[in-house]
Amino acid sequence: MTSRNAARPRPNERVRRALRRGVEFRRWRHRVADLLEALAIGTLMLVVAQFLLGGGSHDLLSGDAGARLTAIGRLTGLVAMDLLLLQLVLAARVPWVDRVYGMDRALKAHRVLGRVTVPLVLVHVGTIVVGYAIGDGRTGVFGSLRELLKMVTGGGDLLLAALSTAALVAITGTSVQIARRRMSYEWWHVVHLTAYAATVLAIPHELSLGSDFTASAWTRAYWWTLWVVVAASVLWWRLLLPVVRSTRHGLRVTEVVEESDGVWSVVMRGRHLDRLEVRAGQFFNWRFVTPRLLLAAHPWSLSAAPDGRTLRITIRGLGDHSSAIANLRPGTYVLVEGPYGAFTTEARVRRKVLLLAAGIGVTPVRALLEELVTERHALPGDVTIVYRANDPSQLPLHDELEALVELADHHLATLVGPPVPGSSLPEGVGGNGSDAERLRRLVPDLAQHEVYLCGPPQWMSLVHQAVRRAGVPGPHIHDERFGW
Amino acid sequence: MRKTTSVIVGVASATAIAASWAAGLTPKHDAVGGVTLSAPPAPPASTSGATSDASRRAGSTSAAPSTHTKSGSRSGSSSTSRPAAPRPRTIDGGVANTQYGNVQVAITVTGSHITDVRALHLTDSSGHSVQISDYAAPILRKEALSKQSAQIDMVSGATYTSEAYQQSLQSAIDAAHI
Repeated sequence: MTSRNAARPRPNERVRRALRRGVEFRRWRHRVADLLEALAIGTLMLVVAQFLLGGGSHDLLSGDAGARLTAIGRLTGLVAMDLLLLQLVLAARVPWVDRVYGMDRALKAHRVLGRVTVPLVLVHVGTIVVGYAIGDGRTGVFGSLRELLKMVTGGGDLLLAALSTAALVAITGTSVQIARRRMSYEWWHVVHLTAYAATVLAIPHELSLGSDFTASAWTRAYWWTLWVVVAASVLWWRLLLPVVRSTRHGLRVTEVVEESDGVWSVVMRGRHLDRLEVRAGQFFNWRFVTPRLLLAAHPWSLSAAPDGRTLRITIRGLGDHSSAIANLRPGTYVLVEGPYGAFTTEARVRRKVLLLAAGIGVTPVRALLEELVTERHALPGDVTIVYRANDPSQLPLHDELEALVELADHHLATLVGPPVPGSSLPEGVGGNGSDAERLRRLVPDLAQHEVYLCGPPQWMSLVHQAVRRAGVPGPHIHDERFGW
Repeated sequence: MRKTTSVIVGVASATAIAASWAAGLTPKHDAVGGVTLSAPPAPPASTSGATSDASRRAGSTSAAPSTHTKSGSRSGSSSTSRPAAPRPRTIDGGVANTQYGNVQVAITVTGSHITDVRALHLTDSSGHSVQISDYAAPILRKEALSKQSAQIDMVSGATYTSEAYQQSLQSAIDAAHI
């Protein structure tokens, strides 16, 4: 696959235009990223500044222990509420967030913030309870517990706030469990949805007791704006838009094809699909309308470039849900949320493209390759695709890759062999040395490529490292973290 | 985030936080409760004239109730038949302002004993606020009567009302010289 001609043809107009669009998109993405991040930091700073201005710094420094603890409680409560709202925005599938960061990164940021928010809520509850207990002359653990009991049973708002805290703790607990794969996705999801209730339940006590929320007309307006904006984002992008899209396009299964052992492709047809803004490399959350599958939405990437008439996904039967896909009947209705994901050629600014896929991660890569070939956005020979599998029987869509590669004289390297610990490549491929050196031998001019990779998480981190070491700058490496 | 933007955002944030920290060190109002006693209590003369004078002086007590003037009513009329017993006196406390409305209480003192605490006005900025007041007032009254002082527990969920209630109560007790 190292057929390098000395005299390459100049990139033709189609390619040049595609690359120019990439430059423009990157510029737009930088601007929007700056704006979004500045807004996020700005809300936090405003909240903290407002607290300090209202005498927060005075309360933190002087006053008795009770007043100080209460001040800490107020501050942590304010910051936690702000972070909670940011988390909701990150999970709300806002298109700008998705296009700039990709859903996988947005949700990762959501998880990281969650690790801060929930401890902050607990600090808030703890300091407020102890601070009030001291104010009421109650001391010790028992005194604080009595105070807590009195607060929770006293007025309605604090009971709601306690429920909110309990929900947030439960959400954190289940998220830790799901990370350890000890809990089913469906249960986790149900518990996670209570986050909306938890946020709403926290609001009454903020308005009735939280003087920092109501200190002035400005702060009240500020918080109400935040609440309304976040609620509207969640309602529209997370709930209504998917319903609107699903109804508008009325997707139905047309056929289910077995690609290889336990891997099926589902082809769907719908109305006005040409007007659905979706790119190769993106994914939807799919929900098949059958009694067994309706309740679970699964994220699967398109395995073919969208052509305006059909959509195709390719699924490996892992869980029982995935295997129920095999029995889908043609005509079954399909509900979708999406498209999501920034794993597209939108930000491509380099002529040469390297696509790396492992296992079922081949699906979005296959779609990207098809787009590059059919749209003629790459010159012949400029695309290299590396397909890694543990076993020759696990190479779904391999024939299609071969056909596409042949159309435009691109390169396909199929690397089959049992997994090697600490390496992304099979034994012996590309000679000896580190993964970076071997990849450089496999792909000439590796450092000049725009790199796309998709596969199992550990494999992706190994490849990511190797590609970085081989000289590809971070902004030219694109990946899609699969799964939830 | 690009470098220039991070620097701008960082400097702006640091400035804002530092400025508000400095400004917050000397809060304009009582930082802890935000409760201020705007109308000092009536002198111990137990008549109502002074109280209305007090509420006139407090510019911001527009919400101060008209019940004010009634508070000094001759509550001792029925006890005149028993001259041996000390005459109960009614003393208005000051008006405590909170962001949720004003709080003012009146105490009835018989000898040196507080025999009753009545709320002349309670926090009422919203329906919710009224609810909280209705819930907290009986608890605060009971506490005040049993402790015979303003050193009463805050009712959680009604911090502002409790704080203001305490202050108004304290001013009434001070005025009663008991």
